[in-house]
Amino acid sequence: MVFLLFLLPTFLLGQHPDIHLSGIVLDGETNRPIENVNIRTTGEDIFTTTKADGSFDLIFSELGIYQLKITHVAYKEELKTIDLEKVNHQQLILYLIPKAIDMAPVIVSGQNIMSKFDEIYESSNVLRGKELQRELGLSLAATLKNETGLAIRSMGPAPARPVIRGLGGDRVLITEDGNKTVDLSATSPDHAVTIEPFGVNKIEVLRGPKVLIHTPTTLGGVVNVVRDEIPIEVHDKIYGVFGTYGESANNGYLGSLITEVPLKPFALRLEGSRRKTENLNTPVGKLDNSYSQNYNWSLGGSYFPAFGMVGISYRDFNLDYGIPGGFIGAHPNGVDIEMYKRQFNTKVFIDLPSKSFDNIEAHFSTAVYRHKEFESGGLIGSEFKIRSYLGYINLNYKGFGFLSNGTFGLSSEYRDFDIGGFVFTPQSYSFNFSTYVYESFNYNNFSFEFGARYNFDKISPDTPKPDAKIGNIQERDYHTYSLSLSALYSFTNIVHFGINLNKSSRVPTIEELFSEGPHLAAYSYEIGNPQLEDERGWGMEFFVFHNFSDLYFHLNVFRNDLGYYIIPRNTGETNFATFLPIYQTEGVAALFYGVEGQVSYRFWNHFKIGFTLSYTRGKIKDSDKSLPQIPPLKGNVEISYSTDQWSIGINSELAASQNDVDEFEEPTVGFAVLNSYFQYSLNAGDLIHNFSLSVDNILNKEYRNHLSRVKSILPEAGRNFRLTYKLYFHI
Amino acid sequence: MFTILKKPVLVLFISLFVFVFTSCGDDDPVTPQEEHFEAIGTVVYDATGAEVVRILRGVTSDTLFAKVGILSDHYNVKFLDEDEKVVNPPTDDETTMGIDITDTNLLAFEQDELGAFEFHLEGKAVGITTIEIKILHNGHSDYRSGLIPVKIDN
Repeated sequence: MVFLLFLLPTFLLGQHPDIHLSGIVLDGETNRPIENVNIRTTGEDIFTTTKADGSFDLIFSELGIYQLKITHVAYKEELKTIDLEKVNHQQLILYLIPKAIDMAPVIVSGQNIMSKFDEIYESSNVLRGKELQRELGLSLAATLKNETGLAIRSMGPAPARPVIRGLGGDRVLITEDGNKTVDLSATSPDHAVTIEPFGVNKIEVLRGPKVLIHTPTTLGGVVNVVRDEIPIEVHDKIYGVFGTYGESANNGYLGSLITEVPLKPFALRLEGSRRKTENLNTPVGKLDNSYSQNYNWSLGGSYFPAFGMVGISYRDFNLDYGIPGGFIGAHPNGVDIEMYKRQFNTKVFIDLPSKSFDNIEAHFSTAVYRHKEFESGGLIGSEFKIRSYLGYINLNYKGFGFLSNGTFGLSSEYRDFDIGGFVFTPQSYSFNFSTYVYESFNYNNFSFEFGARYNFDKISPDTPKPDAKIGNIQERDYHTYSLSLSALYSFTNIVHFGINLNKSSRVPTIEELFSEGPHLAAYSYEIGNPQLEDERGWGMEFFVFHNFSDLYFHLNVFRNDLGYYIIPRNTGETNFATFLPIYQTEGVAALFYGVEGQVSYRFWNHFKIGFTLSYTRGKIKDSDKSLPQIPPLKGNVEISYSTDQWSIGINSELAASQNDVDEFEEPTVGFAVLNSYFQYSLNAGDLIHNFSLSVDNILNKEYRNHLSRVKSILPEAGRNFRLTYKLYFHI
Repeated sequence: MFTILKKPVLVLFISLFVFVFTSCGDDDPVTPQEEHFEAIGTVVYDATGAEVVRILRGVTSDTLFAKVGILSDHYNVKFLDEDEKVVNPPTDDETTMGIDITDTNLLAFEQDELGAFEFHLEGKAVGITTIEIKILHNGHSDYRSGLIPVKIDN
C-alpha cells in the first residue's frame, strides 16, 4: 500500500500537468514551524508531511476544490477548504493550535495566503495567543510596550498610544479588523485610544507596501487589532471566551465575555466588557486622578450566501478617565475626561468567478465620537465631537502576467469635527479620497512588493478667518502620493535579506492647522499654522530575518529623511492669561535613523533566552538639534522555561538615559525593571482554562517613561501583580 | 432549533441597520465656543484711585496688606492688554471676577457685588499668604493673574 502511495504521484505526473500547493504550518501560539504535520485531502489519497522547517508541497492532478485534513499528535485537528484556482502559485500558511494550550476561534488565519513578507511580519510583529494574554495591559499601547521598535506616548495610564521608531500621532494608524479607528488619540497626548485590548484575537504591526492599502504614511506603520467583530466564518459549534483580569497597582479589574453562535448560513457574535481601575500606585506615592473606567459592547453578524459574505456590526465604547495634574502648567487637581464612540460597520465580500479576479471587498463605517473635558469643579473646559463616514472598496486579484497577487482600491472619508467650550479651534470639515494599488511577485529567490497611493484631501473651516492671529484660516486642499517598494532575497527557506524603500506623505490635522488657544487636558496652549504644507519624506530600511528551528533572529536598520516634518514644539514661552506653556506647530526638515533587533534561542528543549533592542535617533536637520519625544535606547532580556501546559519566565526591561532632547524638553534617566510571569493551561474537554500571573516591577523600582507628559510629577507603576484568566469554550 | 432562529436573525440584521442609521442624530450637541477676554496682567487700585499692585505676566514685586479683623479699603481691579496698556474689565453678564486665597486660615475677602471687579480683604490671623485674581467665564477661568502676596498683621 505504501509502495502504491509512493507510486501515485508518479502516475499522476505522467497523466496531467502538476499543480503544486505549497506552504508552511506554524504553531498558532509561537509561530514556530511544526515538523511532521500530516496534510491529507479528504476523500482522496493525496497527502504529505511537513519538513523540519514546517514546509510542505502537495501535488494535484487537476484544479478543483479540496478539503485538507491537517493533523498532528500535539495539535488540534483542523479542516481547511482550498480552491486550487485561487491559491495556485501561492504560499499557504496554516496555523495549528496546541491541544493543551489554547483554543482560538480561527485556526487558519483569514489571511491564509501570504507572501514571504507577510511570513516575516507575522513572525516578528504579531502578538497573539499566550503571549498576548501575558502582555495584556490597561491600554493597547501598554499591551504592545515590549514589542521591538515600539514605545508608549502617555499622559497617565489611560491615554496612551504606540509610537513606532520615534514616529507617533497619526503616523501610526490604528485599525480594527483593518478599518481605521475613529477617535482623537492621534492629535493630543491626553486623548485615549478607543480600543479595549482584552477581547482581541491578535495585534499585528504592519509595515512596508501593504500599509498603503490603509494609509499614505509609510514611515510609521499600522497597528491592526484583529477580533473579527463581523464574523468571517461560521463555526460548527458555539464558541466563546470568558475572561477576567485584576491588577494590584491600580486595584483594577475587568470582566469580559465574547461568544460566536453559528446559525448557518448566519453567524452571530456578541462581546461585552467592563473595566475599572483606581489611581495608580507608584514607588513614591499615588498618582492622583489617574483612574479609569470603561464598558463596551458590540453585536456583529454575518450572512454567508453563495457569492461570499455580508456582515454588519455595532460597537458602543465608553471610557471615563482622569488626567493627573499638580505640576507647572497643569490644573492642581487634574482634569476628568468622558468619552464615547458609537460605530456601525458593514462589510461585503463577493467572490468572483474568474481566474484573475479573486474577490471584491467593500466596507462602510459611520461613527460618532464624543469627548468632554471637565475642570475639577465639574465645569466643561473643552468638548469635541466627530461624525465620521468612511468606506473603501478593494478588488483583489492574482495571476496578471508576472504579478502573483494584488489589490486595487478606492477609499473615502468625510469627517465633521465640532469643537466647543474653552477651545478656539474652528469647527471644520475634512474630506479624503484615495486610490491605491498593491502588487507582489516573485522571481527565482527574489520576492517583490510594491504599493502606491494617491490622496486628495480638503480641510474646510466652518468660518474662515483671514485675519486670525495665527494667519489666514481658510480652506486647504492637498494632493499627495506615497510609494513603497520591498525586495527580499531568500538565501534559504529560513534566511532572508531585504530592503524597503518608502516615499511617505501625511496631511496636517485640523488641530495642527487651526488651533489657537488653551487645550485644557493637554496642559498646553496650542498654536497651529494654517500655512502648513503636507508632511513628506523618504525612508530606507535593510533587514535580515532568520528562523532556524531553535534560533530566531531579525535585525532592521533604517533611515527616514523627512524634508517636511510637522511637529508641535515647546517654544519655552508661556501664555500669561492661562499660564500654560505655548506649543507651536511648525514644519521642519527631520532625520530619523536607528536599529532594532531580536534574537531568541531555544536550548535543552524547554528553555529559551531572548533579547530585543530598539534605538532611534531623531534630529532637526537644519540645526542638528534633537527632536522632542524620541524614545531612548531600550531593550528586553528574557529567559523562560515552557512545556505544553505551563511556562515560567523572568525578564528585564532596560532603557538608557535620554539626554538627546529638544530645547525645552526634560531629559530622562535610564532604568532596568525586573518582571516575571507564570502561565498554566488546563484542557478539560470542550473547556480550556488559561491562567496567567505576572509580577511587574518586582523590585518596586522608581522609573519614568521619557514619552510621558506627566513624568515630572510621578514615575511609572510600582510593583504590580496581574492575574488573567480566560476560559475558552466550544460547545 | 437553529433553523427557526434564521428569520429572527435576518430581522435583527435589518433592525440593527435601521437603528444605527437613524440614531446618529445631533442628540448631544457641543457647547458653543466662548469668547474670551485676553489679558497679560492685572492692576489693583485702592479707594483713592492710587495703584497698589501691578502684576505682569505672573510676576510682581508688590504686596497687598490686610489687618486681622478689619475690612480693608475698597480695591478696584483693571487689566493689562498685550500692549501692557490698562484696560477696563469685561462688562458682559457672563464674565465675573473670582479670587483664590492660598491660605484661607489667614485671609478672607468680601465683595460689595458678587462677581464684580472689586473686593475688600479681611485678615483672620497674622501671616503672609497669596491671592490670585481670575476672570471667570461661565464658571471657568479665562485669565489668571498669578500669585499676589498679601501680608496680614494686627
